[in-house]
Amino acid sequence: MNPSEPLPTGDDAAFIRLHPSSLLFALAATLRQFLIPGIIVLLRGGENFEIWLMLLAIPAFLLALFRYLTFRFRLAERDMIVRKGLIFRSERIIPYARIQNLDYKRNLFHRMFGVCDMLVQTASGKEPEATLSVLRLKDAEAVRDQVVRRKAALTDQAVSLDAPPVEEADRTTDESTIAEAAPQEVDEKRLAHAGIKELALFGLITNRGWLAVAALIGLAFQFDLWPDPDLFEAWADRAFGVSNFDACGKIIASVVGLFAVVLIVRFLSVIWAILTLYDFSLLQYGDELRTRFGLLTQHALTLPKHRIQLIDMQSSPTSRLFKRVTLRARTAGALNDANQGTSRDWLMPIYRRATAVDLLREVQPEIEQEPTDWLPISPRGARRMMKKLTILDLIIVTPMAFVLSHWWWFALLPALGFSWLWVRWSVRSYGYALTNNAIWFRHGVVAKSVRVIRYNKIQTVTVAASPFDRRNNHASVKIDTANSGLGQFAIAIPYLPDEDAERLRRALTDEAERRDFIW
Amino acid sequence: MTPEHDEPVYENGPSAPEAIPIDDTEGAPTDAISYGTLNMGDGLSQLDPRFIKAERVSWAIFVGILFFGWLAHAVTAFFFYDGSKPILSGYSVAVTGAVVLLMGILGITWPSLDYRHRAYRMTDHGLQIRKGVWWRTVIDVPRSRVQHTDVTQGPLARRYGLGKLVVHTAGTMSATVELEGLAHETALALRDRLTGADDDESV
Repeated sequence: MNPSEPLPTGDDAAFIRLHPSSLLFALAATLRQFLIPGIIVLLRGGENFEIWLMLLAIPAFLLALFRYLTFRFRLAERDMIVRKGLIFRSERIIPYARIQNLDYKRNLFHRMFGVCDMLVQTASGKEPEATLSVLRLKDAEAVRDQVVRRKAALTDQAVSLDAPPVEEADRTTDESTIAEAAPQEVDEKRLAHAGIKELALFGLITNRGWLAVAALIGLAFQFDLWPDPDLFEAWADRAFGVSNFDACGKIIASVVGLFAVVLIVRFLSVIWAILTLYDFSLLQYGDELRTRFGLLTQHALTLPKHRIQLIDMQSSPTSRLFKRVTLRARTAGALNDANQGTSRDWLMPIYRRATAVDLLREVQPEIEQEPTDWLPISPRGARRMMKKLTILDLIIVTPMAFVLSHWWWFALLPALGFSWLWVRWSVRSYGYALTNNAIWFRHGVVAKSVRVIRYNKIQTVTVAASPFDRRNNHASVKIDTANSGLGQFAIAIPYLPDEDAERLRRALTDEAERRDFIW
Repeated sequence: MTPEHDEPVYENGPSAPEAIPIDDTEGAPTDAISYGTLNMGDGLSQLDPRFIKAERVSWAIFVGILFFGWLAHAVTAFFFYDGSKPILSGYSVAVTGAVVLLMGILGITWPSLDYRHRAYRMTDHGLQIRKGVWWRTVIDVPRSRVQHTDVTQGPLARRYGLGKLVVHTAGTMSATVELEGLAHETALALRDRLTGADDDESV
């Protein structure tokens, strides 16, 4: 495709092929799959058959080559059409309305060639619906803008329905007006940005340095490269002039060593955060949110605003120390792929707690102010939690006391004391509040989370009561949304007085039913 | 946020459903709310009573298989017990026999108990399903959240004229919500009502 040509779209649009450098990337991808085993085979002088096994790289490469040669796509009036294969030809039609996210990713090599990988994601989750690898960056941006505009034109009405509760009469969808609605131009606006200082802080808080340590340990295993214990003593000898440690020296050495390791790991974490999240920006582009980050590998992710199912404001003890939170927004599509420690549902990995809700309101105006009067769970919940923890404490301590020594019974005291504190904190941490357009829910003692779900994203509401619940006139309320996470409800409020639970169920069902759901 | 309490709170007693006044089908209000055979007031309907029979039959099949297993156990024990293997002793035969007997009793009593704790309600707002003898749940599926619905019928259910309504939502845990033990015609009617009108735009 000629770079000066505009990207062809519309029903008569011709199929577009991938950028020629796709071939190089296909080659590189195959080589990379065989790189680590290859190095290991070479270094360790593997068995003969292991070397022959490496020849498998050749058919794998040919296959990749073939795949990229036959891959083409086009942007039609209403759908994106992706065609693959020659003998077994597959044509996938992805309606714009179904496209949840259009992300692109570029590592150093992509940037050298001015190209990127583009991932088309729909609500079907897990796997991207299509991967366009690789496209010229300019073309990728053009594709994305085209898709956004066409989608906006198609779903204009749907989006406007999304926010406020609507009257029956407004709900009707008129096909013709949608088709005629012209694609409109939209501006990009930066909502938030994390500078190097913030990212360093994020690295410090999240401590991802362990990822690097884990990788190193993994490599050491692969190569049988465990350092000789004598080596340490030799180092110590050279550094401090002592060759044989006494007990005290060993303790001091290990403490110093541990401290050094922790420091190094934190430092690595900071480096990791700055490299991978460099220049993290949250941008608004019409109905879409975009995040962009990365120094070496650049990511550009999209989150359609009206597809946000739930918003989460998370904090850990260290992040609370610095008054920071992590803001996440989960869309219906694309399950969270935690590649290299980043997360695709981040609005901002780190943001000031004080202004976090203001940012959220810019993203979703309907969520309004953070509620001040949170409704509590039942105070009797504390007794039930305490009972559970007491049983747990006994289960742990009793065998110790019988097997080891009766002194272990004294361990019960601090254990029960701590359990009591934990229960208090935990009961207090629960709270929920109903606002005009959303339900807020907070919980968590160590890792705290404040979660917001708009009523129009609620799928079902369940009230559940176990026999223990019923004995205490308790019930729990569980709210389900699309993509609430594997085996999880989006919100589950335990130990509610059963009248409150019933009231909550009715209120939520009413609010949900009054609003239409759009993915 | 506090809607008035015009609906009974989900009952707490172990065998409360008897307390709910049960109208005859004929006497039930004629508006579209009262599907099903029995109306329990406030739009709550019980399942088809044939569900009890069907459940008992499926229990009977299960207990029957258990019984033959136990019979094999007893026969082997009778002929081959030589004091070396405790699993072939009279005691173990008695214990497994007791378990089978217990399952048999459960198979007779459980279906009707279970039936009494199941109900559903179909309104303009959506479908509500209540169930559970010990662990109770009430699930609300708002009408506008129904993606599509199926009515399915297993061989046993067909024999008793029963059908299962399966409601699909875009949710995660409640991606499929099942309501079994309906008369087949009721299941079909409920399906038509759930997917009747204005659900053509939720994509």
